[in-house]
Amino acid sequence: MWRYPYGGMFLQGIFTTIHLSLLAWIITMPLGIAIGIFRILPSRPLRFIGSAYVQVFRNTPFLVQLFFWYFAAPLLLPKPAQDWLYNHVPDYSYWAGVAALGTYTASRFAEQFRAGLLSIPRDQYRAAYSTGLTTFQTYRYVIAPYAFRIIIPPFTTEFLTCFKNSALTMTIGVMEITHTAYYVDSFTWHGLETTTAASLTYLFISGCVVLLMRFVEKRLHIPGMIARGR
Amino acid sequence: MDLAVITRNFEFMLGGLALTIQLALITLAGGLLLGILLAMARLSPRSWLYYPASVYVHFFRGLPLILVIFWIYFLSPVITGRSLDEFLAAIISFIAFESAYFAEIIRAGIQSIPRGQAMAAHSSGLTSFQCMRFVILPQAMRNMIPALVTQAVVIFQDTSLGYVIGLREFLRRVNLVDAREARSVELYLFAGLVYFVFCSIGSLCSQRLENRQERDSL
Amino acid sequence: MIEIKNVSLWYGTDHRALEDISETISSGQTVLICGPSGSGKSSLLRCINGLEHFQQGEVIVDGVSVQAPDTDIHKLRSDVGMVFQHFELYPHMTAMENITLAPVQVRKKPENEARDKAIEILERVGIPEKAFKYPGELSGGQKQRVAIARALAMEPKIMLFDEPTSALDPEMIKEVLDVMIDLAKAGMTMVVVSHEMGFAREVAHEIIFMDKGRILEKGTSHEFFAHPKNERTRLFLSRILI
Repeated sequence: MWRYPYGGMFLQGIFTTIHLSLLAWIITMPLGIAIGIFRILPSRPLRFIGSAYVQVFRNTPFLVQLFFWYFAAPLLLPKPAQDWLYNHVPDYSYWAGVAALGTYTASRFAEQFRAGLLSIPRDQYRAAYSTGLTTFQTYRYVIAPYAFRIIIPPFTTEFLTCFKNSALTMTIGVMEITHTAYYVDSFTWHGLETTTAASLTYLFISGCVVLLMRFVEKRLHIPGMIARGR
Repeated sequence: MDLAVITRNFEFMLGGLALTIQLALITLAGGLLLGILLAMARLSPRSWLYYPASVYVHFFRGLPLILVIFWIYFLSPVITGRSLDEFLAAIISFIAFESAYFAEIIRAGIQSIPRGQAMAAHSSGLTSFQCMRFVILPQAMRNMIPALVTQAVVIFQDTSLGYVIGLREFLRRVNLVDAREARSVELYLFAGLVYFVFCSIGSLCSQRLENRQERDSL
Repeated sequence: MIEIKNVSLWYGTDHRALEDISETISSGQTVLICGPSGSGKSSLLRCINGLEHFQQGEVIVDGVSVQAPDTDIHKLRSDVGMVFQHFELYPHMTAMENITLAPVQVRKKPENEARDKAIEILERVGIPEKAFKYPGELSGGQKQRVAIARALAMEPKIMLFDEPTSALDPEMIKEVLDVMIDLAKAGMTMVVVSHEMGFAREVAHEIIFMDKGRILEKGTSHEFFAHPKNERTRLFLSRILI
């Protein structure tokens, strides 16, 4: 199975998975943070937008969203844009995948972010204000570093979920790891090896990400604060 | 917006929903059962229970469900020599996969009970089994229910992955109609809406249960 | 009744909770253990009913060695009652159910017999009317009394108390101590970890002072308060006795 060209295809698949996930994550982070913040702002309309976003994207299966982006979304554009899309964008399935994955994961991340913000005891704010810090300073020196450390575990799990969900883009034709495995299998009938290789790749990358995050967590650990009880 | 396309094919698509619900319920039952066993194994001091269970849980949590489905569907014929019916393959993969998630929820629930409770139970002579049965599990179950309901909602959504092996559940049917009629926008919005309705109901139940819990424990 | 022989207990490689503890407690005696936090008092208590595993030494309770491989630990524990600092009542059960759970499940008593006994004991601790209330509906003092009732329901030969009043509001401490004093005067063998010196003076036959895993001083209550021999003991006493 490692024989050319399959080895090469497989590596290509791995790269595709990785950069697809990363691109989606680039969308997810700011979007997720924004939505998370919307949901706890005093302004009602913004809160509603935030909640609505999360509800819609969390209550529909990712596959449905993916199909929507790939099949349905182009049809919503005006005709000239559609033509441009179909004629000039070579890998539309890839970009549909990025869009779908990005927006979906953003809704999940928003929830985690919001939970993180809410878990900071209000007394922290009060303590900071009582020593005369302005709102901005409070957020900058007290809240943000605190929140940052709380966020790390959910950050990891969401990234890994994003990474695993990238596999679903195979349904619209993206040649990432799982699809490549399937594809190679159809040529060689060595399904067992390809799927094993695919599984190992996912596990390996997940493992690396988890180890990396543990390392980061340890380095940023505040002594005495409840980190991850082991 | 041609909504007629939805009404014309309504019956066909909804038939898929029946299958979806079936899949979800069976997976829920099987996944919970296996999940409980795995959780117990992961809490056990016996290595021969702990390590295999841990490997199982980490393995299935580290892979995409779609890959698991492939494993089961395409590879079991190789091992057993027979080709597997799609429905069965889907059920097996779903149960195997979701049980890993249930196992973690259950384990976390049990570990959230303060140690003092177990100590009090043991100090009056109750065996570990009795302690688990009368003291720990009843309390843990109450804590876990919101998370379990959320996972059930996830299962409902994950049934859509039956699509990849051609299982004629709801999404597959919507997709088939789309291939024929090409009214993607209406159809996928419809699909989204149906899932949305079901899952929202589930999430609302979970929220209500969570709120009730907070009130009870005050 | 209880023999503790050269018991040592450590966690990991460097945290030694108990260092070569030896002590004998006869039937009917009430012994109070006091000392600063971290001195190992609670660990010692938990060694007596096998809730804590010690690495060296022996503990013999009523002729049975606690860590011997052929010991039926569940039987031993049913003869030793324990009361905890944070009560540890089962929140999902009423007081009655809390009390009857062990007699029914361990001693296989019939439900109605267990219930009658439970009411009897609740009367003894002064709150029979709370039998069907949940722990969430009880005050701290009432919860602890239910906890004591729960332990007494197994008709133990020995009662162990781990800082039973430390988590209580000052007003409720008396009601719990009164119950404990009654028990002591009725002849129960009791080992109590506590700082309640009033209680000690009234019913304790012996007081043990521990620090850093060792017994530093022991004596009758009279000797202990009037003539503490150890410097550390004196320091401790001066800080807690106002």
